[in-house]
Amino acid sequence: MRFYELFIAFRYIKANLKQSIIITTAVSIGVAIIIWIPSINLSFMDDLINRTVSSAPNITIQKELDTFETNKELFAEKFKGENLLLTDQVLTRKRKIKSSRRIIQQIKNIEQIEAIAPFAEGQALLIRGGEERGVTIKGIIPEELKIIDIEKDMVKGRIRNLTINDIVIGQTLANKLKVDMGKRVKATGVSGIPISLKVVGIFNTGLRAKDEYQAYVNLRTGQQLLNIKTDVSGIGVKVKDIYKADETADEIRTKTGLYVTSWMEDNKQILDQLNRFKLIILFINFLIVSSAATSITSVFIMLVAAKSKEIGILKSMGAENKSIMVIFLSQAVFLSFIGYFIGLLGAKLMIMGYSNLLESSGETMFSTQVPEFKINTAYAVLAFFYSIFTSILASILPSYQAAKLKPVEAINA
Amino acid sequence: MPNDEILLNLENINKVYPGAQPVHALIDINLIINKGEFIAVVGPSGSGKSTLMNVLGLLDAVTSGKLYYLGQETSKWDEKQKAVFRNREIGFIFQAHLLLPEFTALENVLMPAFIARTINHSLEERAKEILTIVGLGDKFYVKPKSLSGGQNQRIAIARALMNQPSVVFADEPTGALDQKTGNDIYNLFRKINAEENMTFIIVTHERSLAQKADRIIEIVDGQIVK
Repeated sequence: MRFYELFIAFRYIKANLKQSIIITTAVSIGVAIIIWIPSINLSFMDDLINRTVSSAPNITIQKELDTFETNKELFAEKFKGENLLLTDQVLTRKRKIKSSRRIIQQIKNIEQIEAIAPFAEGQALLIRGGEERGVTIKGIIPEELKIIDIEKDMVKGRIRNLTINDIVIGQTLANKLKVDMGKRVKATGVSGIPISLKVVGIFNTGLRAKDEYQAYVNLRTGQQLLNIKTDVSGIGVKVKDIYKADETADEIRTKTGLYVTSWMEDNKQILDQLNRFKLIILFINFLIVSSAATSITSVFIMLVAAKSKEIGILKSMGAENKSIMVIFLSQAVFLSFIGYFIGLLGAKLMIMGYSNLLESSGETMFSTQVPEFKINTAYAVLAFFYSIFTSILASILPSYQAAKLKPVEAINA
Repeated sequence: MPNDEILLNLENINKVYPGAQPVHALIDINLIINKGEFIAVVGPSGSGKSTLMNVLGLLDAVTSGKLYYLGQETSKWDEKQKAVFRNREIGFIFQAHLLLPEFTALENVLMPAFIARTINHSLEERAKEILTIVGLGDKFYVKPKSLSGGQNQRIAIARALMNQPSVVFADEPTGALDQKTGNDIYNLFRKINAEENMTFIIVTHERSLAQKADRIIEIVDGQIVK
């Protein structure tokens, strides 16, 4: 037998079933939680980012700040106490671009840009019978569908090729207005002139802010409702790598001199919060690993103490120190290997259970859909190395002590 | 001066157990043991018999003096060298049988061969043969806890003989056995001693057993008196 150490180790695992179960359980609980917590949270985060990114342009170009805005401090000095109103007026006024075609020409060759579409967006009132709802109405062109991924969320009808008489609304809004496909609603914007529009599509993004307060119309209709003639309120841009949106926004800003924001800036608070959350997860994982390691160490210390006489016998027969170490370390590695797979299975079951629980408990505050939870591969791989590394680390001291036992002392123990 | 017949040579061996009151367990031991000798070590309890056996078996280090095995001085050997030497050249039979409870009788006997990484079919046959000789031919696959103290002691004896060592140290090997089995074991030792020129050093309280030995070493208070 070339590796008698493994033969002895496996026999010990079998013979000391209670200890083996305790170690395996400690590892599997650790692994399950190490995988489960980040998987759930990262699924939520990914879902939130995906929905946020896919429901709005990666980059939005608006009109450059006018002189009121750039000289805000000067005006503030001059009109003490009125600056708030002034800013408000400026912000309202600045959101119009006259020459969107020229701007599109200017930026269309930027490498990161995948799609560009002008839009007309503003507040409007939708009326159906006795029901009235304030919404954000967005006038779009077909190219817009490359920028916001709304088509996948369509539950009824279409959003492509909207005519000037069409409107697409969210499921929640449709329910509140009590309208369905083919029905008409009256829309009134800042122009004050009501336009009758036919519901040709209903979407359900899962984001309450969209499903209840967003409506899409043809760009021309939007311009008419907002009374901006042929101007647009902004230009939406989709980039190839969403995490390079900031850099691309800078490039567009330099080229056009316009007011450009990326989704990362717009959602800075959420992103910061998510990053802080990731740090907390890391910390929690560290605590879990530490507690699992402590229990493994104590079990192994007990095991070595119980086996000291046998260690002495093995040494008297010529077993070397490193062989004694291998006997104990290999038990730890093997049990943590088993523990890992049980933990992985546990994590999978916990994720399924959690998903079912959320589905049965209904809507959340921000979302009307439960995200698709899946095991985070990176954390599953990390948990594998965690479990093996932790068990080695946790058992190395007791194994070393076992190896260093003097045969006579061990036999007489 | 190396002599091919000398197995063990002890020169001024001292063993002191440190502590608040140090115990001088072996005092200036000088001893030569030849290959193939059958020796009994006798003496009252606490006289240093077991300490001498542990020192001779390289299980315990000496405090001073020199211990030669087959002409080689052992104090410079590291743990690994001692382990390899114990595995190849020394067999132990402890007072308490000290078997590995998780393993069967056959596996316990094979353990020295496992450790030497030399296990093969013929060694397994040899282990079975030794077990049969010690009267356990029908207990190959039985674990120690299902066997009596005497049967376990016989497994320990079989284990000590497994690797065909140069020397077997036995601490009260027949103490737990009835007289007939004790005699059988003694006869087995003698037979192996004669056939394989294996040295036996037996620590015993039994005068009758000691008197059958080629030489008796008597220890009193850590010193060889005879």
